[in-house]
Amino acid sequence: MDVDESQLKDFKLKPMKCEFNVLSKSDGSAILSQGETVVIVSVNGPLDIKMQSQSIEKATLEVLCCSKGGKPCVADRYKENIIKQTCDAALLSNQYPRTGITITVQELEDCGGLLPCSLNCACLALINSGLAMRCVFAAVTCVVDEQGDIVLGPSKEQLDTARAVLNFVFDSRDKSLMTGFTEGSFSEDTYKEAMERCRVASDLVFAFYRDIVKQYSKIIA
Amino acid sequence: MRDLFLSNCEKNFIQKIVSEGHRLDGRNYNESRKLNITFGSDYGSCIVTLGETKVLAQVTCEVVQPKQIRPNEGILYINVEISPMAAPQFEANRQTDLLVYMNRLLEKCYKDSKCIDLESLCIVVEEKVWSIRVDVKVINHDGNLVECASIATLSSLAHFKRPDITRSGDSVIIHTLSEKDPIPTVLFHYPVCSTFAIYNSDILLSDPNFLEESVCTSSTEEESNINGGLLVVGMNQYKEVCLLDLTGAAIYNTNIVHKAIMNAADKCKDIVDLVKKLIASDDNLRQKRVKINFSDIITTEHKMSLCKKDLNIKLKNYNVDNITKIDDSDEEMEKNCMEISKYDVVSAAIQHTAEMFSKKGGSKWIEISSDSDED
Repeated sequence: MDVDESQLKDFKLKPMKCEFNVLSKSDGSAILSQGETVVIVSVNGPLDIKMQSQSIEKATLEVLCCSKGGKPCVADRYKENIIKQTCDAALLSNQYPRTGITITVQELEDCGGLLPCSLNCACLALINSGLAMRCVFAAVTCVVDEQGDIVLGPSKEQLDTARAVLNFVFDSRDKSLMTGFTEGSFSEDTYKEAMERCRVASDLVFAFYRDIVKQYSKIIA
Repeated sequence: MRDLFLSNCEKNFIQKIVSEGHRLDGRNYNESRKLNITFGSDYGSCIVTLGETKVLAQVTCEVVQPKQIRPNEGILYINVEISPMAAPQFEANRQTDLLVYMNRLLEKCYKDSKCIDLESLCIVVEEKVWSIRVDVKVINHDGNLVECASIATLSSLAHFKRPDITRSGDSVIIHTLSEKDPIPTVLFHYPVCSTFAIYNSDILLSDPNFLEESVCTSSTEEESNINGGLLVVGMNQYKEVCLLDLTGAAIYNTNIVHKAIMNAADKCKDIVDLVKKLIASDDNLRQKRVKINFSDIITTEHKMSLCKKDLNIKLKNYNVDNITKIDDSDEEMEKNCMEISKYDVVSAAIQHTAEMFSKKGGSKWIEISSDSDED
């Protein structure tokens, strides 16, 4: 990929704030704000589940997304599906056969980029729960605006006016793509360029994870 | 996951210390846990925290056709959800008894007490009215859900503002928030529920936590527990009773209900005052264009949660601050102190709640026995 190096360095994501252990009854929980979008995630598991949903090879992962108000809708199911597939790939679920792991995502504020924020928060909650993981993951969003420029960490207005919205999830080990989902139309080259930029930007998210875990593990140790 | 069950010794211990005048977390009978209300960026969204119990409420509105029998009244709809986030024993999208019970109580408290001016929600008679929907989501269940959810419902309803409308002939224009200032909901009075746990048919514990709630409603080994129950009193700021609900035992004397109502009256007034004050200050901030967002609830206070916040037990002679003092006095104690620091150990002002003995011989167990325990 011939992406200008200087362009890659010149980016910033929305400010992130996180707190672990917000819920006393869950095995792991985290609240994360990315810009003005806020999400709270709880992880319970491994738990005892019904016989018919047990799997002898691996833990059964269940994801539940709740919007803030109104009835549950198809959009929630879509989010659940993406979070489930991503977490399934990251978790070492064969370590916990015949059990269940539940991830519950509750939206608190949605000012754009709810799904990437939920994914990052789910990852933090999984770290907090202490479940065995193959890798951690970071979700990064970018948009292709009217002029065809790629903007990382878009604001709500940018998201509304964008020609395309591209989301990527990378793993922490070799920064390979785990999940990708897009909206709108774009060329193949734009896709590749956006992916490269997001890959570099994911470093910021991983650095943030490391920072948070460091803060908490200092106290554990 | 199946329900959590309490062991007999746990039940007996709680029963015993309560009858001796103590509570596990060091509160008095009439003391509530810390109440905290935070508002979100939208109108009508709030998170209410009562001790460790957390509830999120969001009010939304839409234009619908009114009911046939009440053509000039708006509709209020309350929906409670308990997801696995609240506690692992709950399953997603399942109607449990607790859910139905809470929904009914909140409906009684807010719908049937007629605290909302439903007629002001009418736009065109027999055609268009506002339907107000309150979504109450339990985020963390640590007892006294009813009280926490009712405070959340009240604060979100009082905080909520619906968009303004203009009627021109047959058409109705709904203005966005930027076009015209939204209208607040009219509340005639502010009802709030408060829960009391009844122990031994004469002791009232206000704001019971999860453990106290489950002990007083469950039965002990010898006799089925006929003396315990939960009493919910709903009152408004004028000290009028809006709701009375008893689960569990039959009450022998009417005094206990009277006592509960007296207690609830003051408590509800304080809560309503707090809600009103917070909404006024929130309104002020919004007028100054300060951005209010739920991200403000992210603090650093849980950083220490792995060392001490998880369990709130107060022990007689021990304090977090003087642990270091004990450290150098006794080596054996030091081992115990390391263990103790897991809990929030604060010296209780009241007399003996529980005592700790450090055992010789390297045992790391902490023995907790109450004062009058002879065996």
